[in-house]
Amino acid sequence: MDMQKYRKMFVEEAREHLALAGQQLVALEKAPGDAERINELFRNAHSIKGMAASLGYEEIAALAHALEDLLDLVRSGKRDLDPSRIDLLLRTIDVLDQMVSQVEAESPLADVTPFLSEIQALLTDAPAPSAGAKHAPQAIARTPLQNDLRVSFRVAADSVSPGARGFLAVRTLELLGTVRNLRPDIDVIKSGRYGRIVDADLNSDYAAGEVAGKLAAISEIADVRVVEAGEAAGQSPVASVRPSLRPESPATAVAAPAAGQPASVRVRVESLDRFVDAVGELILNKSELREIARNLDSEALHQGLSRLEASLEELKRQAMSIRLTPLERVLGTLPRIVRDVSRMRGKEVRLEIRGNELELDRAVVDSLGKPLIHLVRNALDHGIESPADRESSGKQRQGRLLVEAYREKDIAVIHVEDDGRGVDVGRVRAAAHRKGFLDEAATEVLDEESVLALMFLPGMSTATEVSEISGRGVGLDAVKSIVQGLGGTVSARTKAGQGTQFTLRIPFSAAILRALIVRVGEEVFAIPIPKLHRALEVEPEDLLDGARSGGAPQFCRFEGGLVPARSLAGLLGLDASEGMEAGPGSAWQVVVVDTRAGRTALLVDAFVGEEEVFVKQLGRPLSALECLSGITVLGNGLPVFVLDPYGLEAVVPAEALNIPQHQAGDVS
Amino acid sequence: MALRVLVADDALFMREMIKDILRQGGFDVVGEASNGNEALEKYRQLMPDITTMDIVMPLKSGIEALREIRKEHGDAKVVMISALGQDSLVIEALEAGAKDFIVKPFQAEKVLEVVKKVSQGA
Repeated sequence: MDMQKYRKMFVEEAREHLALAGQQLVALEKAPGDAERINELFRNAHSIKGMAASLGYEEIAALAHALEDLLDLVRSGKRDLDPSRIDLLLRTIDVLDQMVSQVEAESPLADVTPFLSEIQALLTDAPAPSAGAKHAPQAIARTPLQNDLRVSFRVAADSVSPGARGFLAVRTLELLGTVRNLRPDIDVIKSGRYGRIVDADLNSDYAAGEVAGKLAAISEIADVRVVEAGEAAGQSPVASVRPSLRPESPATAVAAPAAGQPASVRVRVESLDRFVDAVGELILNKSELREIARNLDSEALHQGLSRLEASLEELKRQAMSIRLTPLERVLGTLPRIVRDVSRMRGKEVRLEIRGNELELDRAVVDSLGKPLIHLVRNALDHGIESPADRESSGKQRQGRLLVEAYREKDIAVIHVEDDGRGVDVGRVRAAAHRKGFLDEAATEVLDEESVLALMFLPGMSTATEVSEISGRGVGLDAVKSIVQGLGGTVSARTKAGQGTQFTLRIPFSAAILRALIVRVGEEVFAIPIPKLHRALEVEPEDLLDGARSGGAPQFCRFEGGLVPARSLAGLLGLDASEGMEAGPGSAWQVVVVDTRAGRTALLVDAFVGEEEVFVKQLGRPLSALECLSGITVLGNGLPVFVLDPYGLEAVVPAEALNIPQHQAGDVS
Repeated sequence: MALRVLVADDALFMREMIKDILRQGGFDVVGEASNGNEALEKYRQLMPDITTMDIVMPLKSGIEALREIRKEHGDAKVVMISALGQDSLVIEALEAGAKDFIVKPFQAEKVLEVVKKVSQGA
């Protein structure tokens, strides 16, 4: 028997079960009577016991068995799950998790006797008086006069006024009841710069069906979903509405997962990667053929290629979807963390998670764990105030922490938002100056958004105390570098006294994407479409010379405002003069992107076209260049670099953002 | 019975186009106005089921006309006609009680879709 192989499978599956069990327990703490969760937990314990026993990990099997026995008693109403027991169960899961890691490392298993006896003591205890009955009245008493609904809808992709359209729909909702937790918020909707998906909680006298009907009656409003908010509002995804299992007979409950499980096979991640790579190569080959067809001017070849293209498109979609994993894999760990950390810090926090069901590439989901956990801890530690502080500033004792994920075109957007004290922008400004990240002039000039961006620099921390939770001033810079590694960006917004919102924006598919091909002098570059706001032609009179020295040399009129303009050649160091040499009277080709310093208009010599490109990672030493995210081969066989606009040199005081190396490790 | 529509727009060309579209869609265009004052006057006189109202018009803007109409007739169904990039004006109009909006340049189907939906709405 190939032990190595089985061990790997065991480790992976046991971890999944343990993670699920942890989530169930935290949820049970809030809704102790939830029969389905108890069943779920029982099944987790049961599966771990079975796997461990068949591989000879006796200690794990024994502990899982004790867990299973206890849960069986809880399930039949003979034991109550009070907070101290939930604590014990959580610790048990932690111990099991450690043991699984020991299995993975092939090291000897820990001694579990103390735990085992603690649990066994509970098993032999006298039954808790009137167990289970305590919670029953709560559940029955809850007969709301109005309906608590969760609403989501999408503004049609072809709507020319998503701002006004979204606003109209929200106003319609407001006429039907009280709207709360509107996402994105109304000002963002009005601006039209949102993912066209809106959701909200609605307290209404109307039933879900009626509300859905009224929304669907608005033109350009699609994908309307209105559901009754469940017991754990905001915690359970809509999709999880399923028939609850009655705990009458243990046999049916245990048999259920097998019957309900979709037929599936486990595939090694490396095999999937090779598969996706191969699909990428096919797409490159197709582009080459297209180029040849163009040169031969063969209609038949073009037609054949179009059919091939359609099949390849489908293949690509399938290839990418196989690797997709719901974000729940990461978000599911947050309730436990919030529970533990808020207890430790004496804070009261209500965690709301939305978008569990959003699917991303598995590697991306896994990499997001660290940054998200960090941001959540940060919010608990620095953002949300103690219950007493909150009360004295007129807030509810309980803080709110919202983690929300949704899709916006080719980008996954994840917000981590708290309603705490907000970031003290003045202090960030002062700290940046003190640490030499900003000179005097820049300190005064920089707007709030740019100042907040400084928080992500290594060595910037405004925490007055070094907290064991958020770490020693390392953190936001690590968050940024992980997110950037995924081709994404991170930003922050804050309102003093009202809260802070961190936003991660991650491209869906890092491997195959559509790119705008631009020419700069002799060189050709690809800019991923999801990373650009607009590509446009600008008349010379819309390019203005900058007045201030030290700022951008030029500005470009864009959407009613001015955006700093820089030549891409200059930023890439291709052209020492950095002059812009369009002939008199001729228009400029401009690509509007977000760089580290904010929105920037990049001047290029020409738009060559748009192409689907398969991005290959760069090797050393080029991989160290932040402005390059990879290399690709165009349809005509030309290899070109794929730019990461975010990594282009900062436009606003570039010299000011020069980080003195010796300070990079500082802790405030 | 066909629904009665009032069309307010300062451009004759736009009025003709909207009228043609609505007539082909089975609506009865009962009147037209070329500025905000006229729109208000015609509204009082004709009491149409639906009004399409250009936002930018001389003498009195479409939004002002909308406000006055809604003040007198809280149930008036007014659809704003706006140009691309006038989102903030559209939002202002929606806040003032416009039922929906159509963005120029528009397609006939879009105009009919919006007007029909508004006519069916409460």
